[in-house]
Amino acid sequence: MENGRISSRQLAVLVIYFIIGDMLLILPSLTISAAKQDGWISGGMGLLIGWPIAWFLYRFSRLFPKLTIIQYNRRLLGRWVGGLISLFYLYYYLVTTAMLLREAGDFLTTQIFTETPINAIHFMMIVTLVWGTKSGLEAIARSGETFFPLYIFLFLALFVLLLPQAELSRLQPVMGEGLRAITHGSLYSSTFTFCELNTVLMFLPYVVTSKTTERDYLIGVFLGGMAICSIILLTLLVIGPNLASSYLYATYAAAQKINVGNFLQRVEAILAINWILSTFFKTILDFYAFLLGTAQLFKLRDYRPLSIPGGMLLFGLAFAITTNTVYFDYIVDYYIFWDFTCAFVLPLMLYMVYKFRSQTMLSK
Amino acid sequence: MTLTTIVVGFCSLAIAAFELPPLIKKGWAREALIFIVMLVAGAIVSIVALKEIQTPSPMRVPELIYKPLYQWMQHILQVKDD
Repeated sequence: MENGRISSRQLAVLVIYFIIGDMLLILPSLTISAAKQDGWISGGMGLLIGWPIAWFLYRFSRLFPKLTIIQYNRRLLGRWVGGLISLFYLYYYLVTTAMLLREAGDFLTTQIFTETPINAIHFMMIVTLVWGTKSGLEAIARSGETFFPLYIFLFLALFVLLLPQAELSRLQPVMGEGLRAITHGSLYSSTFTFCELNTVLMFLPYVVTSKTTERDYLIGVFLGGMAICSIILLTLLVIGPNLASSYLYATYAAAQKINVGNFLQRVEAILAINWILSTFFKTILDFYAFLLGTAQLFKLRDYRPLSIPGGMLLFGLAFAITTNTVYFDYIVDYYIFWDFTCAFVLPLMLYMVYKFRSQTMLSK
Repeated sequence: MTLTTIVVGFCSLAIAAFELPPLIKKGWAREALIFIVMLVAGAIVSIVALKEIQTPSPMRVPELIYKPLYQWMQHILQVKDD
């Protein structure tokens, strides 16, 4: 089915891309609109909640190191119940891919290519996704590794260039909105970043495991989480809570403030490039999970022939997923629960079934 | 039948002509069947998208499943509905 193998380092790189993903632009607005000037505390809390979830996902995957979540379901819950849970996961992967594609389309058509039809953007991205999935997991991981130095450089450049605009007073009053608001903000930062990482359950079996795999994975999770926390903090420091919560792409609005000696200006494209890169890798991994999962559910010998029809499905769903950005704002709250179910509730249930069965076998 | 339908239909046939023969040659009937099902579904949703016909969002499913939980969370966090 999947002959490619990726190294622990490639896994860590993919995890960093995956955690930052689309959240580089989307999360600061969501967190800051919930927690206002305490959004950075929500980000930190999100990391504290999300990191153990990511660790749990890794430990869970070690129960059957050679199987994906779709194969787990069948093994532990049988053909019908397992198949139903697998369909739930496949729907999640497909809709998440379509959602990410739509986010990219919306961002590009509203901020950069304002005259281009959204379907044209979707089409171009889908061609790349289909090409990537047809090339396999190894090619995806290698291209991720190739772009990584550029990604880090641009990310750091954004920070250095924005630091002169930062004002600490924008974080005050600390805890002014109370613990409820901070908790609300941390729900976004923990689920959209760490719970969506449940897609790793589809490609962890293809990682060449060594003594350092778990450590590399957790370092990747930590670095991705820290990057997300720091981007929330930077957005707050540069444009403050009021502006940040009114913008859909608050980080992009902050990046537009870059001005070094009235010479270096309007370099927000740095952020756009980084966002497109990380969103692309998150999208392709979700798409890969959908294709591989479909092939495993229906016991196919290869998932690659499904790439093009899968791409056509995405094209339609990316359009249908939301009528406008207002509806998009509304459905994010439902996504929290969906992410949490796929990352924690269902794996925990499977874990309990596994433990129960192991004990029953031992007692017999 | 509009131009959109013809173009998508033609593209779908071209994809099938390119991808199906190797599957049939290898005797992969199940793969060919799933491929056809996905291609037909993909062609239909693509036509709908290109014609910009409004359809229910695929997010309606999780919305229906999680509505009670969502309302409970709003109550706990005292979030006002916009």
